[in-house]
Amino acid sequence: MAIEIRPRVRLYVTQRLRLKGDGVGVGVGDAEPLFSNGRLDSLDAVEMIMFIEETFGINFAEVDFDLTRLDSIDAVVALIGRTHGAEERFVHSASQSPAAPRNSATARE
Amino acid sequence: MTDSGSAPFAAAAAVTMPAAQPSPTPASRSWRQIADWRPPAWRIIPAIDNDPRLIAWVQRLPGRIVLVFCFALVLHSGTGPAAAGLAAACAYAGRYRWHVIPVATLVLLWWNGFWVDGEIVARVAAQEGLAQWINRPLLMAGMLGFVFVLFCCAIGLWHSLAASWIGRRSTLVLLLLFLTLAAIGEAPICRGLPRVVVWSFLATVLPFFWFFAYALGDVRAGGDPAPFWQRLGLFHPFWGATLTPFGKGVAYLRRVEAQTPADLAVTQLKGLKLLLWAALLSIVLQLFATVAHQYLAIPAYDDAFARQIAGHPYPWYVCWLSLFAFFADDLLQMAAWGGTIIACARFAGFRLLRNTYNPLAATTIAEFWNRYFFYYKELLADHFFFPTFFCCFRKYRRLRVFFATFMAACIGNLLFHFMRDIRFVVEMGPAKALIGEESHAFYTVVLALGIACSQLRPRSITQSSSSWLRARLLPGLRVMLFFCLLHVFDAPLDRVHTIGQRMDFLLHLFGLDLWL
Repeated sequence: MAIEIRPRVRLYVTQRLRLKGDGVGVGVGDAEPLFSNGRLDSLDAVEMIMFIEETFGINFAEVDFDLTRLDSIDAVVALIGRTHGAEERFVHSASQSPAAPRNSATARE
Repeated sequence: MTDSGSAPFAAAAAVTMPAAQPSPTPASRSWRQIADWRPPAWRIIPAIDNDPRLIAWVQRLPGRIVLVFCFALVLHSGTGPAAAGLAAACAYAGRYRWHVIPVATLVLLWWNGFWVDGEIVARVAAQEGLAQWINRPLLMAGMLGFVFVLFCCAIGLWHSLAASWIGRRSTLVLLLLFLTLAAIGEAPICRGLPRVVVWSFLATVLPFFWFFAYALGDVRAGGDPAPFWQRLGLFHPFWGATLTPFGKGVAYLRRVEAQTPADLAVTQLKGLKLLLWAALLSIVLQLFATVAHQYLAIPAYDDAFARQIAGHPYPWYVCWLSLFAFFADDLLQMAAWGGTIIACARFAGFRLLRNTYNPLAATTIAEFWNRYFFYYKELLADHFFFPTFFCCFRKYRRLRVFFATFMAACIGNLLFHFMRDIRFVVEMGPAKALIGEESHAFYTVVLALGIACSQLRPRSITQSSSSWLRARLLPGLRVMLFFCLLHVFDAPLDRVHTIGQRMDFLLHLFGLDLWL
């Protein structure tokens, strides 16, 4: 069965932001930074890595990990796409969500 | 600053659909009112970074002049005015920003003696009977030049090593090299001038060690083709740092760099806002110290601990007060000091995240650890947690998180402090220096277990929607109590006091020393 990458990743990120009490998590933009603006932290990165590994079968030990590769929904989708190439199980879908407003960053800023 | 706890909390609460409840009795209604109470959202420092007119004004020349003046005025102590001027030069240099940074860093490094601990070199030279024969300033200047050439060569070389086994384990290689050299420096065969040279090298490398580790990590990741001098320009950047890099390396800073004049204006206003907050915390810190230690006569923690060791302890409740005061003092100091550094980096045009962010709002040990000293936590995560996490126990989800956390919060933490205080090896000898770490080792083990357990506890949306008292206040108090008690094993952070002495103090806090 084919898995749509982008909706799946977006759903996960939104849930993660909600879990942290991030009120604007519902409207997160695909290009919006997640880690470099403090909305998610390295603890969330761990959870996200395990989600990607389990859902998309990626081995991060082979990817040469850098947190920038998970810094937005676009980056995660690109990482999964690059790693899997043209694998049929995973289907890319175009970005659908509008860019989130610039001021949606957390108060840690 | 805002009390950020309430707004996200309300949003999270809105996510969950509440179940139908029977109509409450008056008693349960009043209890519910107490339980549902939340602190009001208010600001001490206005949100100047959200005012469009102000953002537009500080992009013009008069606005810039006033902004720089205000920033320099608040940042008035120590190298503050110089740092403010350098930050302004960096901010307004536009596309030459990355050329200004190395120059600015060099100026302040020169000012601060390149952070090299000359006492280590002096002590080793004295131990070897060479104090009068060695020109210490010349040796240290020569060593500094040699170390920086070495850094340049290594950064250049790492491009070709990036894919190799060594290249992918840059931090491990650096740690092994450093500790091996320290062992050689204390080996019986290494005596006289060679020992002075080895320790001079280690003392020179030490302040830049983690900056170098980040630089090699950036080279390995390969995302940013920055020349070596840009990377070196961030070794103890002019906005401030300790051994812990605030802002990591070039790759991270590029991501948070202001790209447009409007973006720069917002970033600088955020910097000014944070600096005002840090200044306010410094005032609160002084007031707190005056009230707690002078008016209320709460002894300093070190004093209470020393009295316990001497056999004349203060009453247990005084020791508790002393411990709480120490904890509060530590939090305020960390927030004020880290805030000033981040404010300066923001003024230079880098929208770095705050170092200490509302630690009292933490409801888990892992969250407190993340909020207390962000860039140190990031250092341990980047250099210890993730490398372990990707390699070990990949099939066992919980064990994998637990082990990686342990490697970072315990082993990494311990190694970091052992290296930071490497002078103890010279002063006390390697055996005593290692044994003296027992108390801090215990601290890191307990800390790692605490963080790992709190990480492994599942969080849920429904949990975050329960009352403020139950979901925020009580867990927050538990977390603070944990860190307060943990401080007994790392304060004062020396190699003299044994774990037994610290355990006695802990027992005294609970009044158990009379029973045992």
